[in-house]
Amino acid sequence: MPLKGLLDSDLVEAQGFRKVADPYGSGEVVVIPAIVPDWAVVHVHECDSAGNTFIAGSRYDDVLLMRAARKVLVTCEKIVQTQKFVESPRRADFPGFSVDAVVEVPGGARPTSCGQLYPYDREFLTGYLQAATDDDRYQTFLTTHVYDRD
Amino acid sequence: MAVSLARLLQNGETVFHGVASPLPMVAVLLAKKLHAPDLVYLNITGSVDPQPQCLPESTVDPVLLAGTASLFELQDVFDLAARGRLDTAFLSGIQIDRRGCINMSAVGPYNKPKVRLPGGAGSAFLMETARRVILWRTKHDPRTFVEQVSFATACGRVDRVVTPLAVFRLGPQGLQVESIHPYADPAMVRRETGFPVDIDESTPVTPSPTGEEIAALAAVDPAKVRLFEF
Repeated sequence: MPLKGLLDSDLVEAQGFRKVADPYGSGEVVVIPAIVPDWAVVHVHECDSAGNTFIAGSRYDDVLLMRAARKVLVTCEKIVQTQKFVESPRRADFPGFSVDAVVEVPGGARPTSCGQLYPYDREFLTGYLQAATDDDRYQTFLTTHVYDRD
Repeated sequence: MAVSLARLLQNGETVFHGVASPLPMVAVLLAKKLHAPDLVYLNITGSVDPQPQCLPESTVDPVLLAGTASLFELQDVFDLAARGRLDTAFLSGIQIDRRGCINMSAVGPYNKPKVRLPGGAGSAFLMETARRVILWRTKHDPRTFVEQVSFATACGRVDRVVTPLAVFRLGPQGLQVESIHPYADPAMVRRETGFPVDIDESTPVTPSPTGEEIAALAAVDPAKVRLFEF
């Protein structure tokens, strides 16, 4: 897709982006290739079993990610009745027909935050950063928080 | 620095800052409280003129949504900038050079870097589309302020650069000191800047924060989130 700006950035050459002559004006335009991930994995507030998706508050780039990916896995705090979306279709940030799988995972954004429900876990993230500086400590961290968890 | 940044903002402007930007966040709220009540404040969370209960250290935190009457998301901000209607964007760089170019990509070869930096495609876009860019950096030393960045992630419409020592303005000769902060001196600024700076006795001193500015700063940021970057 064409994009304004970037003309004077070294990223154009480093990333192999191309510049084309602006067909409607003067000068050049940077055109960038689409990123097509195999999967988008997105954690949201509510979903119905068909994958209709509701995000409370900030959506950041989540909807763009879902649109870009070949397949979409949505994890949600709560699975709700489809009727909730039928009553108010604009509630759906993303339509179920483009979602491949839905999993109910309360707390699924931890240790990062889920807007309006829980904040990021500062203590846990600090622990991770400290553990990640050393292979042995990192293995211990993984054992405690990943492998040995119920 | 927060006061210096706030003073650069004009009433009625549309202003945006991104992630990891506590000082711009405080500066925008401070300007709104002082001389620029009608400034339009946009940020990554999608809020428009939020009135947060308390200020987050992470400027992508949803607490910055509080009080917004509409959502204007990042893609909307980029679209606004592309249409030439974003007045001011706050950006920063690990390295900043004399031309006002920033490096947010890599130290060393791009494909085999010594240090991989956070990246800055958004900066590369906004630097050329926002009507003006204000850079800020809490570290002012010769490794940060260099003659030429090793990788120019973004170059463009830089207006001012605010550091703990001085305010720079971008002119035909590149970045030049506009004013030195009261607690800095010319020798220090010369020593800590990796390109030649023209300073003498006639170089203005940044006016100290007034009583009104200090009181407003304490009201806007009682927890001193503005110190988080130091």
